[in-house]
Amino acid sequence: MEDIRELVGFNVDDGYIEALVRGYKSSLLSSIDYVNLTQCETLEDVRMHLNGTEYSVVLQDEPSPLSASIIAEKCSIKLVSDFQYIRSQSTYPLTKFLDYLTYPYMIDNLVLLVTGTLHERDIGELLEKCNPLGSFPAMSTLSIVSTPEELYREILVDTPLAPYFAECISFDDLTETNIEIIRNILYKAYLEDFYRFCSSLGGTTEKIMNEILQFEADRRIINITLNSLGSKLSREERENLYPSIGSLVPEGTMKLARAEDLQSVNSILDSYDLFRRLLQYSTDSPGKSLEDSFIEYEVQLSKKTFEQQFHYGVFYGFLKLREQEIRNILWICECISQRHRTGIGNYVTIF
Amino acid sequence: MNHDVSSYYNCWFFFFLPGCYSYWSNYLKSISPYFFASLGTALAVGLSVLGAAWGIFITGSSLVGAAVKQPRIQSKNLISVIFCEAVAIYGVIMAIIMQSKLADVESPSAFTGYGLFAAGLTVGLSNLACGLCVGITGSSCALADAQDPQLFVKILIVEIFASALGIFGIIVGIIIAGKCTFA
Repeated sequence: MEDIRELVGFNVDDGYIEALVRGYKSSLLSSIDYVNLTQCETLEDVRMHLNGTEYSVVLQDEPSPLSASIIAEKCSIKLVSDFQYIRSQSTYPLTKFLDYLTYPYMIDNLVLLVTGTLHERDIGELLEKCNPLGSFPAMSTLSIVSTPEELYREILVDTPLAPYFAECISFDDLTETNIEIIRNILYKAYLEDFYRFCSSLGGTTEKIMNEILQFEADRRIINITLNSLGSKLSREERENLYPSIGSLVPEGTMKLARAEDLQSVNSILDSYDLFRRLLQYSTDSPGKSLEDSFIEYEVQLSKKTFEQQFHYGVFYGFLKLREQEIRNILWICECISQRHRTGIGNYVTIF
Repeated sequence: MNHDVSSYYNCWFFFFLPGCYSYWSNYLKSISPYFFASLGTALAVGLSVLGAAWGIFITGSSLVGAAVKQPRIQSKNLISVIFCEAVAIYGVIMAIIMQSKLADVESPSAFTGYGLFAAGLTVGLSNLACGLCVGITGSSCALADAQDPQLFVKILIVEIFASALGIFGIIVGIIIAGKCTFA
C-alpha cells in the first residue's frame, strides 16, 4: 500500500525538484573530463576545460593569477547556490530532509568557530573558513565561551543542533580534546536522529537512506577506534562515542571498544564481509588508505541512489557526488600548480 | 415464511429507508433502475477524468523539472501527456453512448439499469488504472530521455502497452452497453 502511495503521490510535491536534481547529476564531470583535466599544464588550461562543463559561469570573471583554492572556492559557491535553489523549492517533509543534510556542516562550523575563538583568532577570518551550507544565524555573534553550558545557552539553543547537546553539558571546560569529543557526540546524536527521521518517512526513502546511514555510522565507529588506539580514552568513553545504528552494533562495537592495536581491529573487521573487502582493497592497491576505500564505497552508494525513482535519497547522493567532484578538482589543481604530477591520478572517478 | 418476525427485523433502519422490507433483496429491487444507469454514466466520465488528470500531473511535473536542464525533451515527451488525455476521451465517448440509451419509460427494466451501471464502472475503473500507469511510466520516460536520448523510443513501448489497458475497458463497456436500452 505504501508503495502505491509513493508511486502516485510523490510527484505532487517533489516531482519537479527530483527531476531538477537528476538534471544536475547528469552534468557532473565524466571520466573523460577528468582525463582532460589531468593533461592540463597550467591552471589557465584547467579554466579553459572547465568552460565546457557546467562550471563555465563560475570562473569567467576571475582575474588572471588563479590558484587551486580559488577554483575550489568558486565551485563550492556554485554547489551552495544550487542546493539553496533546491531547498527553496521544496516543501515538508523534503525541506526537513534537506535541513538534515546541512547539520554535519553546522557541527563542523561550530567546532571551527569555538576552537578559533579559544585561540584568540579574528572572528571575520574564521567566518570565511566556515562552510556556507552549514551557516546558522548565531554564527557571527559568537563571543568567547569557556564552558559547554555557556556555549549551549548563548549559541546553540536557537540552532537545530540544540537537542543533540544533551550529553555534552557534563564537561567542565572546553579544551582541545573535549571539543573533539563534543564534535563526536553531536555527530552521533545527529546520525541517530536522521536515522529515526528516515525510518518515519518509510518506503523506498527508508530503505535507501538507512543503508547509507548505517555505513556512515560504521565508518565513524572504525575511525574513532583507529584514532583512539593508544590515547587516554577509556573503554567506556570510547563506547559512548559509537553511534547505536550500523551493522557493527552490538557485537562489533563491544569487541572494538576493547581493541588495543591495529592487528586486533583488522581481525575483528575480518568477520564482516563488507569491511573485509574494503580492507583487502586498501592493502591490495598501493597508495590507497582505508579512508580512500571508504570514500570510493560512499561514491558507489551515492550513485546507487539514482537508480530508483520517487524517493529522497537522490538529494543525498547529489550532494555527496558534487562534493567529491569538487575535492577531485582541487586535488588535480593542486597537483598541477605544485608540478607534482605523480599522484595526479589519485582522484575518485564518479562516472 | 415467517413474515412478521422478519419484517420487524428489517425495520431496524427505518429512519433511513422509506419503508420496511421483508428481505434486503426487496430493498435493492425497489431502487429505480434509472439510479443505477445514471450512476454508471457518471462513473464512466468521472473516474476516467480522474485517472487522466492524475496521470498528467505525475508525468507533467517530472517533464517540467527535467526540461530545465534539457529543453530538447519537451516536444517528444508530450506524447505521454497525449496518452493520458486519450483516457479521458474514452470516458467521454462511453458516457455519450450510455446517455443515448437513457429514456423515460413507464416501467424501466432492471436489466438495462444494471447493465449500464456495469458498463460505466468497467470503463471508469480501467481508465483510472490506465491513466495512473501511463503517468508513472511517462515520468520515468521523461527522466530517462533527459539522461540519454536513445532510451526514449524503448521506454515509449512500455507506455504503449499501458495505454492499451484503457482500450480493453472501453471495448467491454461498449459491448455491454450495446445490449441495453430502456426504450
